[in-house]
Amino acid sequence: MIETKGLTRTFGSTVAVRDLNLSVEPGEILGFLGPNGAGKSTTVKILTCMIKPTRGSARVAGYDVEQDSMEVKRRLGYVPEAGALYESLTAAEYLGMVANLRGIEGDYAHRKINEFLGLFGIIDARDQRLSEYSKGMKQKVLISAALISNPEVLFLDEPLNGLDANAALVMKQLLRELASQGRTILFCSHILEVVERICTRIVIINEGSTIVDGTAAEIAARTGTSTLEAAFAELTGVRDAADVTRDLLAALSSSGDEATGPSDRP
Amino acid sequence: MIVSRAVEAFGADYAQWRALTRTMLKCDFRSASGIQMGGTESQGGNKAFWFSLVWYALIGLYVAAIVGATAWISGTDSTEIVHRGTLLGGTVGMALVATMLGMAILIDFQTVVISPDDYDILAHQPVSSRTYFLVKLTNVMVYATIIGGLVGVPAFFPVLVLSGPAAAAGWLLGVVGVILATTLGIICGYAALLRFVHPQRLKRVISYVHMIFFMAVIGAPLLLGEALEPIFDRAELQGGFPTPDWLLLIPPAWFASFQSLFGGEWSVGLAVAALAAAGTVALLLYYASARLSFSYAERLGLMATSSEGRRKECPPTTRTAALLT
Repeated sequence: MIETKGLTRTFGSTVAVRDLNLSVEPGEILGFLGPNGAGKSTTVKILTCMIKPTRGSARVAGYDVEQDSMEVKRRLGYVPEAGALYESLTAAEYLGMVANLRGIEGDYAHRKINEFLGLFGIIDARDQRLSEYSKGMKQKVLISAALISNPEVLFLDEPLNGLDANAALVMKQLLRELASQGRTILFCSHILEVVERICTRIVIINEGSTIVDGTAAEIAARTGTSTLEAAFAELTGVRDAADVTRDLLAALSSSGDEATGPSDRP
Repeated sequence: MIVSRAVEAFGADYAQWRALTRTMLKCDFRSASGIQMGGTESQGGNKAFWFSLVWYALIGLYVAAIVGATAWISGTDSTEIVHRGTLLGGTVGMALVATMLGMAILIDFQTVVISPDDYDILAHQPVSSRTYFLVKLTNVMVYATIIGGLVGVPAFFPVLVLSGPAAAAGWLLGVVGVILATTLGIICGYAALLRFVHPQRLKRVISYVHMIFFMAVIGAPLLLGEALEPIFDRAELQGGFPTPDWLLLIPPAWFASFQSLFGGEWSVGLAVAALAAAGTVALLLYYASARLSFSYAERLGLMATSSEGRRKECPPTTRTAALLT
């Protein structure tokens, strides 16, 4: 499970996460949403022991992220938003490294790697360098790396980025299955339809603090909207999409006028 | 078995150390043979990589010539090998080994020292800071041994022939010491500078410094050839180079002192210099262990992702940083 109490992280004078209280039970898929810069990635980085909180506490799989960070890391799988990989390696080599770091070695590791690459349809490219992979193929490698040690807790930051429709479908089904087996999943995404469909509960944060917590239906009802998308816009203070589109089009046409008539400028 | 015990005695995880060392060496050799040496990861890149190794071997012959010449002149004054003045040649040789090694690590294998990518890829994996430190140290020592060996080892043979096996063993010990000290010194210095200077800016400054050193190494013998000739003639007549006391204040002389001591020259100054060499290596090892930690990689990662322009706003707090910014 995942639990945070008064979690706070500051960078200089900027407060990225402010008094965040979260609780995710085993078997839950928590949709963790917020506009850009809301503090989602910082929260995930604290929970995956990549950075330390300034105040408050966090526990993952029963261990404190500060006191028992190695125990936490052994039990988590993480798909980062900006997927960093050693691009000189092949997919098989990269997954081999991750498997070895997590105590999976020998034939069993080879079998596991081939299994994952096969399931994601990139087995033929297993010995190709990652620098030659497309974005979607790299994402498949990152997902395989996160799952290879069969972790108790999964942190997925935009996991469907770059995936083709078939792989995205497999991924969504896989997440449901993993949750039904008792794994705890924290899912960050900007694709609200997907969040609405696969998450059992949703937390929306803005400026580092929780602004709403509930199921998609509860959140929509609370805001008097019909979809999660509309509720999200309402809660995070984003202007109506139609208004923004109209203004953008107006800005485009006015800049077009200026471009054709520079001599009119004062 | 011995390696696994040594790794575990250091407090690192052997399986992780092995996996990460293998990974990092693969990455570095592949990038060094291609991208970092100015080409693509193709045949051309590989040629550039092998050319650089040949270049270091040629510098090694140059060092061997200097060390050999001073050993030969110092041993010609009687039937007994006198060794007087071997310290001067040894100091020049050690300085060249350190310079070439330092520049190679900073320019060609810069990411070996510390890479911001490591933080994004490894910080959420169950790898301890000790294991990470040992991996980076092993990694950088592999390159240091190859390049330091190419530059420093050829001089072993003239010293062996002209000054005997003990002096040659002393030379090798000095080379090992200078490889360790230079590598660890670069790790510490690089890490300290990066607290104040953006990696891109530091990389540019290092490129200029590298160019100056390159020209100095190539140009010095040509420019100073005639000026040095009378000194060599006088040394030949006197049966050795004069060794001023202040020479022992120069760090390369500390490492060169092993050759003189092992070869039978004994003085308190030489003994203190040898102790200073050993102490320097121990001190740098202790300091470097704090510089290659994950928390440092985290800072570097955050810095590398910030824009260079934004870094300008941070006032440098040291004179060195002020010179670089």
